Amino acid sequence: MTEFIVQTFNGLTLAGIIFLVSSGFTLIFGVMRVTNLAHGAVYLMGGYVAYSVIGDHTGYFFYGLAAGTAAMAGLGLLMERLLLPWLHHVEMAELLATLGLIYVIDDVSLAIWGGNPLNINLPGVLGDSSVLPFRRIVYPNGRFFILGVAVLVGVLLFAMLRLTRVGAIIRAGVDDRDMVNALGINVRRVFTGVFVLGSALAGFAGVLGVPVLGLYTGGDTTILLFALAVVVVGGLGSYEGAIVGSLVIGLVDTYGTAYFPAISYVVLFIPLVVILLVRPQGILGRRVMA
Amino acid sequence: MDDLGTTTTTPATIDDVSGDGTPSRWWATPLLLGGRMAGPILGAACLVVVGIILTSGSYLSTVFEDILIFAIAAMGVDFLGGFGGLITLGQAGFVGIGAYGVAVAEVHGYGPWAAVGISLATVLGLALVTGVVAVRVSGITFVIVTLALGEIFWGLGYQWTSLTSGDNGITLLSTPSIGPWNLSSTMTVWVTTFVVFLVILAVLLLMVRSPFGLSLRGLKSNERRLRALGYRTGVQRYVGYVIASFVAGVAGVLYIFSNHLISPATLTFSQDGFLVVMVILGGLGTIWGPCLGALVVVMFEQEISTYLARWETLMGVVFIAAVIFTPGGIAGLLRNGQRAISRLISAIRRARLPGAPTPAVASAAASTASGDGAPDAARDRSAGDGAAAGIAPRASSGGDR
Amino acid sequence: MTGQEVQPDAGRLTERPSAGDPLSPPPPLDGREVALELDSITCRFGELTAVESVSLTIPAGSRFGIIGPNGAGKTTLFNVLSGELRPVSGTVKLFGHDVTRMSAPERVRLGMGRTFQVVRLFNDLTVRENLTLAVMGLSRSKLQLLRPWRTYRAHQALVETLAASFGLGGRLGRAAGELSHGELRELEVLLALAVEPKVLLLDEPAAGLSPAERVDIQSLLGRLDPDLTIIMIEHDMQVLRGVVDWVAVLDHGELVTQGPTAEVQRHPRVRELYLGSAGAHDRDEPSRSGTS
Repeated sequence: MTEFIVQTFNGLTLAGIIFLVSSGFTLIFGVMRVTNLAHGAVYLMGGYVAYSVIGDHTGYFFYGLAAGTAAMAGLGLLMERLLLPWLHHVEMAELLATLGLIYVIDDVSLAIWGGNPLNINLPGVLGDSSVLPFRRIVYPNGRFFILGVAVLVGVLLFAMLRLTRVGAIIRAGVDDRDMVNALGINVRRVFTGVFVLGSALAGFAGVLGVPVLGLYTGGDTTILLFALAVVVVGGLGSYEGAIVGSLVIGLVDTYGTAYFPAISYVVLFIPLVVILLVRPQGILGRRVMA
Repeated sequence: MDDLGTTTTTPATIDDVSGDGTPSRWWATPLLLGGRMAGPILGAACLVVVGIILTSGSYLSTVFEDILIFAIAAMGVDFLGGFGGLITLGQAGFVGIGAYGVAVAEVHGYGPWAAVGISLATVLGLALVTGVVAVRVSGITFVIVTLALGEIFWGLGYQWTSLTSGDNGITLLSTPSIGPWNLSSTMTVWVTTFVVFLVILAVLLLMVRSPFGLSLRGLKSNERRLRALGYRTGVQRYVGYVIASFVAGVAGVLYIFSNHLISPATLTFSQDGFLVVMVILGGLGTIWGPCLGALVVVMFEQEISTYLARWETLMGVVFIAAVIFTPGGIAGLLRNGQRAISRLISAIRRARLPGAPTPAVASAAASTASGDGAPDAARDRSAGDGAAAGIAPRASSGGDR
Repeated sequence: MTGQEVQPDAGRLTERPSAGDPLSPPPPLDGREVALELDSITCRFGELTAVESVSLTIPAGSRFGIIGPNGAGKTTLFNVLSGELRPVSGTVKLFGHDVTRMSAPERVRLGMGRTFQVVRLFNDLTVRENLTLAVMGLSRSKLQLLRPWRTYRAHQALVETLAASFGLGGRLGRAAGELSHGELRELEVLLALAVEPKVLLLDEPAAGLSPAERVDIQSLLGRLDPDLTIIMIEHDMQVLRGVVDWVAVLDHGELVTQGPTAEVQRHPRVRELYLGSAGAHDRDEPSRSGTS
């Protein structure tokens, strides 16, 4: 039982990281219809940038977090301004171009930071562990911190989407792009903003994820798989779907790894199969009339 | 000579192009044979060259073996993606299963022939099972789901260490043979790979011209209309997916006999992506184009990488440029080049003829030279446009509610 | 395939009258079979009710028009008939079989063909390929993998006959996307006919056509087999006149009235709703929808 509780905490932490990544992915898709396959590569590079800032000085963690986030926001801006205009909103071309971008970003990361696994430690008290009041479970503070940050970001994003004018535009864009165009809103600027926000979220998650998942070549694929599984389960383009999907995928993957280590990837597949057979558009996705 | 006279003489000279034998432009004859013959001649020439390289036993022959193996898998991706509009980003998984199937079966004591059978049966079984799930969705979501499937296959190879030895991979134990034909000899492997490649190429080319192939193109062009004509399009997707996956599995079986080692590295997302890069670079919707794409990508991986450490960056950039500028890939470029050449030829011809024809006549001559009949010209064009449309958005459903 | 249970209560229509005008009985059967029967069809998209409890009885061999202003729910109703949309409630019966839960392709098998308001063709395929797909739609050979489709002589002969009968014989090699708008509309009808339907659903077959092309398509419809049941959506009364013998009027998703074409035109609510307020709207609509 203790083991199960610990695994549940682990699952929730993982869900938090996955949520940060997939919310960016799904926002970009929802508003712009861009399937950014390079999202995982952006996540990984965010972690690398933070590593360069932090190095052995764990006290610099928050500078690293800021640097990783800002750098990836900048990379997102570059992608949105320099690459996407060439693709003329053709969905499959955008998907393929971002596939090519994975090779570029990963290779550049490899050139700069090398192929050896790296790590970042959380600073001060975050690096310690606490004894929980029940069942005397010892659990790292850092994971609670990460989970808390993910929840906080989730709430902030939710508030932004529900309460602000920009959020209203984004939601309208998800529902009906023509409507947004008709309202005379500068869609270009909203698009840029969303892409930058999404990439920043990926970079942010990339830094926070290092203490949990490590920093290594190929780590981007794992996180991309998680993000894609989340959007299939939750519904492509749905923010609320990203929340639900992250919880499902984070918990299922953690339990799978803990209890069925040889086939945890297959276990991950189960929610995908169930959703695709029962509700192909995802739990909170909209059925598109084909 | 007036315009009318030119109009009648120009097609005549084009018709007797092979027989007219004017010494001044004998060199133009092969080019003037036009769209119909250039492809097969070029293809046959390529095959002869590949055959010579393969049997030469040089270092290049191992490179070409890899090219052919990946070309097989890429043709499968093109069958489903270029004709059915369903791009799979998880086919390296099936290549891996084909290879693992043979190696694992041999480790468990089966003979090489049984191992091949078990492997292909496993590939088929997994394709049949995963297909049920994959074909529930289309478009972008299909890409995502197949990518996830491919990753899960990789995860199995990586994590299920009792079966796959994890990261270290499994080495091939023995090779099948019939009498003097034994896959332990490198020469036999080359020849076998080449023959299997030719068979798969021929079968796929036949399939895209079959009623099913036509219905795949209809699926890509307008799924809703296809349903309104009585096609249960899930069946089209399913059969296409199973065929593409099985073809990838065949490539995997050849892979293990060629490389003698299979490890999760062959199933990574990077490899999944390479197959799609091959298809797009080579030319979506042509079957033979992806073979050229395989040539380019394997050359990047094995040749350019020895001179340029950052070859992946270069390849990524080349691929992005191809997506942006040449949606038809190398095949599309060749087709455009061929049209340009026939235009050039007719321009030369026009300059040599007494009295220049009007531009309208010249363009008519060019179109006559590039295809020998209106329906075929239109079919070629429609196939080319189909390739370009492969990465175009799905027909929107707006305005019909 | 399944779900062909015949509902025993044939008198249901009279027990539960439609939301429309109680003074508008369904067309008399005169001994004809009922081709299509809709019973209290309701469709919603979220909070929007597109079709509200519509019941229609359409006798075999009739020429049945459905009219109404834009947004009246005509195309939604059509999508329910053709199986692309599941109604929230209500049943659809095709020649007595309950087809409510059947998919579009299954209904095609039972003899239903349709066209779309926005022309839906295989634009990058040639006319011949378009027609071949249609002709093979109901044949078993459509899953044939190892024989070129061009070698199916019977199918190709049928394709050529169909094309020739509609004046598209010279266009077989053209990509469908290169045809003129009038030819596209004809090909659209031709594809629907190629599946040999017993019930043909035409969704604004004349939309966006020039007056001359309209006459063409009208004469084309006039030449069809009289035993074929044709249901046609139109928002232009002029096109319906002379083509259909019975008209049902929809507005805001509800059946307003139905009756012989001439009578419906005189119906006060139709005049007010359709010819009155929508009259001006009607005049510029066709040219606009033509460009879409």
